[in-house]
Amino acid sequence: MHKPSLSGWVLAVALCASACAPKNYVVLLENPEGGTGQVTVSTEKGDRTLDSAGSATTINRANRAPSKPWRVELDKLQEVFARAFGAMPDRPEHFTLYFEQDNVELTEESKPTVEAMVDAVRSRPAPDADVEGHTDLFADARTNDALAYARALKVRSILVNAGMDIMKIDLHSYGEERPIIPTPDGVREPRNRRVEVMIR
Amino acid sequence: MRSTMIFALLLLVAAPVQAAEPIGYVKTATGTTSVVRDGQERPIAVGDAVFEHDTIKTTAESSLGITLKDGTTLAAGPDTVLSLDDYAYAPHDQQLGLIARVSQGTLDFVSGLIGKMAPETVSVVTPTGVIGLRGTHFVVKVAPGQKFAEVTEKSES
Repeated sequence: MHKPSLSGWVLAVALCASACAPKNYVVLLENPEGGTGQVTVSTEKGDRTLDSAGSATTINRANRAPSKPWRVELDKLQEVFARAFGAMPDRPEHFTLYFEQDNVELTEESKPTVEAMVDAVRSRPAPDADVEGHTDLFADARTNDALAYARALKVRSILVNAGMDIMKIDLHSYGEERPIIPTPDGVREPRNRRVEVMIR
Repeated sequence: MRSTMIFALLLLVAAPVQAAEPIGYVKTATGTTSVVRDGQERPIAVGDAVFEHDTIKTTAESSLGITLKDGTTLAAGPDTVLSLDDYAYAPHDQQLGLIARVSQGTLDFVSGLIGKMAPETVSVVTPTGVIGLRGTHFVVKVAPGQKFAEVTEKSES
């Protein structure tokens, strides 16, 4: 057992100054939908890529490269970010509703999706939404423009009945322009007769 | 009286600039939260719209969560200053981008469709470094009282 040398001690202090209480740092976390992406943190002096959940880099100065990645302790993360975590809004949800041929009637199979969508609206404190109407390529383009719009309106009325503010629903109508399944003109394709909804 | 009229005229002239579309909405808020818009600071609450160029502020013990149109979700912790400097979400016109700036505080960030479709257009700027991402979730802490580096663009080398 020998006493720690002065240089060793100084080193420990320096490490602590940069790693124990960093002023600025970035921590990569797991995506809410699963998996982990990557972040690249850049200063004037260099870049650092983080690619595993819980890894962090310190950027205390613009004129120094980001630190080597270090592991964040979970309780420390909770302590520093508790309020930010608590304020994180629900992730948006996407729904696709399908329609019968040439009209604005929802298919029987889509009814559970409607219920799930309504639940999503009701569970959110201040929902807003995008609603996009589409058709297949059976009718002529002009008829389909009107039909896609009518389908979007129908879904909007469901959302308003579920309690949404009509001003917070953005309506889009793409007619037959954006089929999921590309087909020649004049073809019936149930998977293209749809309204896509994002509830935020 | 006269100055009131001039002020009203100024408002009319300024109106088209302000008639921008919301880029998202406040979904959660606790404590004291405000937004600086067109140089004026005002309170902001759940359900309120946020616009490009807004600066969101929280005080101690406060927090605020926003969902942007593309599904990016942002949550600011206490004593945080967060600016939404640039935002474009028109996927069918190939216009996508998000630049947010954290001057101080804590931010929890989950990217949305812009991060999926054009991750290279998304960045979060802090006084000492820039965070770029690939479809991802991260947090950043920035101590108060720091100035942004004059030159944030790095020269290509």
